[in-house]
Amino acid sequence: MPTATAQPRGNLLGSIEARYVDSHPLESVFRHRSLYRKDCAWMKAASFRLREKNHVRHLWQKRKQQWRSITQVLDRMEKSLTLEQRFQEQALKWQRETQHLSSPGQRMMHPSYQAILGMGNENPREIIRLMILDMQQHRRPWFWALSYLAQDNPVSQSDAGKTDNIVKAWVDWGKAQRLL
Amino acid sequence: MLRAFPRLKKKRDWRLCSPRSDTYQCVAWAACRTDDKWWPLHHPHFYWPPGLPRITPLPNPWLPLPPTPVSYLVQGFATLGYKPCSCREFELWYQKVAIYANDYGATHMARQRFLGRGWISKPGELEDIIHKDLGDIEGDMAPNAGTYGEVNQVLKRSWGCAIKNGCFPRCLGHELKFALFRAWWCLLKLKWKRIPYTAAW
Repeated sequence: MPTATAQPRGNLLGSIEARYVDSHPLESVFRHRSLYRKDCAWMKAASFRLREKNHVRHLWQKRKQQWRSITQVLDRMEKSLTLEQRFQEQALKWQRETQHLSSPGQRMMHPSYQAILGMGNENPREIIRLMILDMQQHRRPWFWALSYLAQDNPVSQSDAGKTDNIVKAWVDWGKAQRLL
Repeated sequence: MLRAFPRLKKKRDWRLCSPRSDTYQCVAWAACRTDDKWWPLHHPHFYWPPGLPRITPLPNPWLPLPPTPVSYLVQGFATLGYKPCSCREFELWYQKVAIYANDYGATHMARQRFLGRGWISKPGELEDIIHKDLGDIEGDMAPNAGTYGEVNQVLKRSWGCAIKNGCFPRCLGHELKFALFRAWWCLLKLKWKRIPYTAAW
């Protein structure tokens, strides 16, 4: 930019030349124009940023709506599962993850076992029936949960530890209670 | 099996040696029994020698069972002639069993094979496995990890005591049965495949 303190060149026209060369009469116009252009650039950038921000917000809202619809569908699916399907799902998981364990405490600590006990609190009679049927078909040891939910234990002391006899005793008990 | 015992993945010297069975588990197997389940729990679903201490379950199954102390298993096996020992290695005149425990208490037992040719374990309802070292099926000590923890105690008894208790013929019978089973399995080229469930061995 030309400066206001420009020195004359040494001839008569020096001061005039200096005036025209070093400080242009339209200097203020140029300065304003450059400032205007800078302003325009800033405005452009700001508007771009704003548009970008709005776009991101729009995408985020769209994603939230998608998630909401997915969770609604999952909720509806879960509610539509019958008690028997939920029982089978948890029983399979429990067997898969604890079948290598011998300690009854470790097996009963599993979340699926606790979930099935929870189902039993909602509808004990149906869960007892499902447990006895499951014991017959898959021989999963529901003995402890059964004796709690049924508040009864048909297994005699002489059959202690004998799985076949225990299953038979529970099946007979289920028939006597008209569950099977 | 490999999901339950990740250390076996790295080893080749282990194998299945029986069909799946839920009529017995590890403690009954260590006591040379294959017709019932043993555990020191005061409940008719498990057998335990009468007159010995057992854990009493709480009336509410939402609460976890009290932990099983290793000493209860030691007392139960004392009725079969076993005594605690500090040596895990093979000793010619003695039969040995090992008790595994994690932070929750006793979890598993394994029995040494004849002539020290590894150990046999019965993991829950799965097949019996022969593994070379006790450490092959060790795992995390956390109660919820679903593993056996580490070897806590080794017990031993003389073969004379095993004969006196009537365990020796049963052990020999199991060895022969499983040898026949393995031969049959090899012949059918089903050695590494899961066989269908059999209700009673």
